[in-house]
Amino acid sequence: MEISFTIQGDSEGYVTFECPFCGSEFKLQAGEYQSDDEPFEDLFCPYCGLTKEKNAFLSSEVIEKAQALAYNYAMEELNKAFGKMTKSINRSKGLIKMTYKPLKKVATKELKDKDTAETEFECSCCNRHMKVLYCAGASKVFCPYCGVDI
Amino acid sequence: MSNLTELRKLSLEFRRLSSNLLNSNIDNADVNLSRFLKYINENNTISAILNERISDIDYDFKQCFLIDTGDWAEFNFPDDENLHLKAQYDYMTFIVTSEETNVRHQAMSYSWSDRNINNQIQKFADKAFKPLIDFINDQISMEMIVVEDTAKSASIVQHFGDNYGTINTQGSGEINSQNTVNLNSDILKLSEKILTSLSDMTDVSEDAIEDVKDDLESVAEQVKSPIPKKSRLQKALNGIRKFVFDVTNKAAITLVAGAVTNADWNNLIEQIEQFIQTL
Repeated sequence: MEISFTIQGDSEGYVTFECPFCGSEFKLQAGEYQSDDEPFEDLFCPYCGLTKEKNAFLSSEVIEKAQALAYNYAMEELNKAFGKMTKSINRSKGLIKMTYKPLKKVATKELKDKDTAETEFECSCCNRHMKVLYCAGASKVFCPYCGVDI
Repeated sequence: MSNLTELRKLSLEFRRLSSNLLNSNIDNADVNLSRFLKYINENNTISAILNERISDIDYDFKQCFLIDTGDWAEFNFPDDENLHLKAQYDYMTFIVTSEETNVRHQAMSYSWSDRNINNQIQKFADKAFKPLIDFINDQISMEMIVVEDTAKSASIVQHFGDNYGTINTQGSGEINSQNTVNLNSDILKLSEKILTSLSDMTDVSEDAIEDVKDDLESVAEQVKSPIPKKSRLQKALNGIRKFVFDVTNKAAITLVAGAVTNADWNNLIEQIEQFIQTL
């Protein structure tokens, strides 16, 4: 069983990610993130520079939506199962009758990234792009793909 | 102070080791902690950063990490950052060097809501040692910023395109410069160049060419005059502008003729405007 959904990027095709270590948000170009030509397993946080497998950087919104979709699928399957059970039991017209109240699904919202105030950078090592909040001279920015400082 | 390349390599290596420690599981936690501690002890830059803060401090790490209470262990972080750094470093050393304990044993001695042992180890590493990791990471980054700024101020590279005046440049301080710009010779040269090319222009009426020729000669006359008349120059300039507009926009004919280009016409118009402003 597979559940899939799409995330719409901002006007330049950037999608938001979240560092599992420091909680900071940054954006990556959707095309580069999903490129089959340059696959990768880990991401580096552009702010704290620490690294973890790429799924750990999915934003809380994405995780919530995935959980909601999974929950709704489970509710749907349970409702189908109880529905069949009810028909089967009630068809026999015996002493036992069954009724059930269908389980409610949760609302899900469309994920769409907005244009925000981050600065766009290109890594001089791997030539891939990112958007981060940057204060010149006061912080270092690290490439999320290769980890070098920009 | 290390050079920038060394610092960048150091930063990447340190962040990789730190991440391995923070992502540890039951199988590799002890190895990751041992490697991390060995790296910060053997690296001169990092050990210097740490020693600057903690070498003179006498503080028992068990006041920060309450592990021998007989109950669940607790964290009791001090307000003073240096005391906290010292405690983290000593706690790390204690776990690595002691034969009676290891990372898993220490992690499980604290109370966590998560029952998964790998999650407990990661939460323990995060709570116990991440502040030290963040401190060292920030110090390395600041060192890189300082080295970069020093390198930038030592040399300035400036690229200039066409220069029609004077360029004065230096790395720091003030430059006082007085320049007198003489447009006269440039205007005369351009006018002469364009005048000689007018006969090569095709598909333009003779009347239009005669009119612009009069305007160009009027400009040359005023520029050479000791007391140039602004109104005559303005009138001639308007005529030249109209000619350029009519030929390029209305008739879609090129101004290029002989050695004269569109840029020559535009430069001439710009320089006449500047000359008029000086009057």
